[in-house]
Amino acid sequence: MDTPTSKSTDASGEVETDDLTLVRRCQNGELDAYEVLVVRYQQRVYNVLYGIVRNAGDAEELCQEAFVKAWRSLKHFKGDSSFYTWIYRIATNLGIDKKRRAARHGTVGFDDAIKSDDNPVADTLASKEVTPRKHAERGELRAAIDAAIEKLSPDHRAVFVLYELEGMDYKDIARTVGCSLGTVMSRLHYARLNLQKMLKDMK
Amino acid sequence: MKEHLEELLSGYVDEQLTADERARADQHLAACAECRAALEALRAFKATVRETKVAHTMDVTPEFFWSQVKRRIQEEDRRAAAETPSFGGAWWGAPLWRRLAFAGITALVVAAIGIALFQEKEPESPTPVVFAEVDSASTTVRGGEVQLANRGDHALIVIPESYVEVDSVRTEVPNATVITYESPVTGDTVIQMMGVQLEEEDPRGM
Repeated sequence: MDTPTSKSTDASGEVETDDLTLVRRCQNGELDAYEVLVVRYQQRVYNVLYGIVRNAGDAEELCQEAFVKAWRSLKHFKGDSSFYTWIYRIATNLGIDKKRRAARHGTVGFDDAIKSDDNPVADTLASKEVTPRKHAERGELRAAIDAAIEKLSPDHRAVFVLYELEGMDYKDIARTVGCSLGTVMSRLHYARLNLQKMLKDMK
Repeated sequence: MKEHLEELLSGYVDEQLTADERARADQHLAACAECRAALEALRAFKATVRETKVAHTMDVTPEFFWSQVKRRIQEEDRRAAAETPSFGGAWWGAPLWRRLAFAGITALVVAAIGIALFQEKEPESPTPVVFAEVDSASTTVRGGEVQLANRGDHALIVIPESYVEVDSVRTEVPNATVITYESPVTGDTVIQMMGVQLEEEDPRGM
């Protein structure tokens, strides 16, 4: 993932200030420094949130909330992790909480039917028919994948979105979500299996 | 072949396995046709997801988005300032002579209490207090525990010292009063904070 962790030059030729320097200025109460961080990450954070909540209005609202909450908590940020991991963590938790609340109120249901106790290998992965790309246009396929992602549990969905859409590695996802590397690998794997199965069922 | 690779397959495809895990996976794949087929299916699925990936873009410009975030931050600041009764916030807006007078009175009161305690009983083991940040109701610091007592909207720190002399009064925290002095008992710098709004603990540590 491309992150401005050191000084680099932007498209206009100006030198970008690194995240940690901006964070230190924010900790001194400089809102101008925070503006740079917000503009730098708002689109990526929005994209992750959209991947989790699947609704543009909710994603934008949560994105604002994440940055407001981050500003309030910046005094506790010690630089042990990168700023982007930290802001993603806040945003991801907000997105997961939102979906869990919706699930409690019965507005959505999740389908994590395949668990580690099942034997998905023979049933799904082994079948090369699980590549509906051969049978659908790209747009239709995208819609089908989106619909399938919608049915994943918030925890599985967050890991899937952070890896597949945001391009984070397992280590950063573990830091962001607050779980072990093994859990990241497991959630991602079973998210993929479920998506494959759902896509197969849609055909 | 009893056990399949299962989630290790995802780590394998994503090249996120350790060298040992990868060697074990290679060994298994060489002998397991089912896992080899599963690996190919997983690769195909991953390619499909990548090919159809769409970045979702916010409907608003970055400038507008920032203006919304800034507005919410400033609104919350105003609300917090209005709700804080104000020993801390209003006090710092007071004239310098009032602040200095208050600092002097505080020092005298603290010193008087300290002297009274000292005369009653020699402290058994002076507690060195080096204190920089308060964000919970009870904070453990080097040499002992500082109790943070909640007095309505204010937080008061009870410091087990026998005598103190206030060196300076300053603030590092919005709406808070911070008094700094050097402990004659331990030589440590003590930072006393008053008017701190206690925050609710977030179970996720955020």
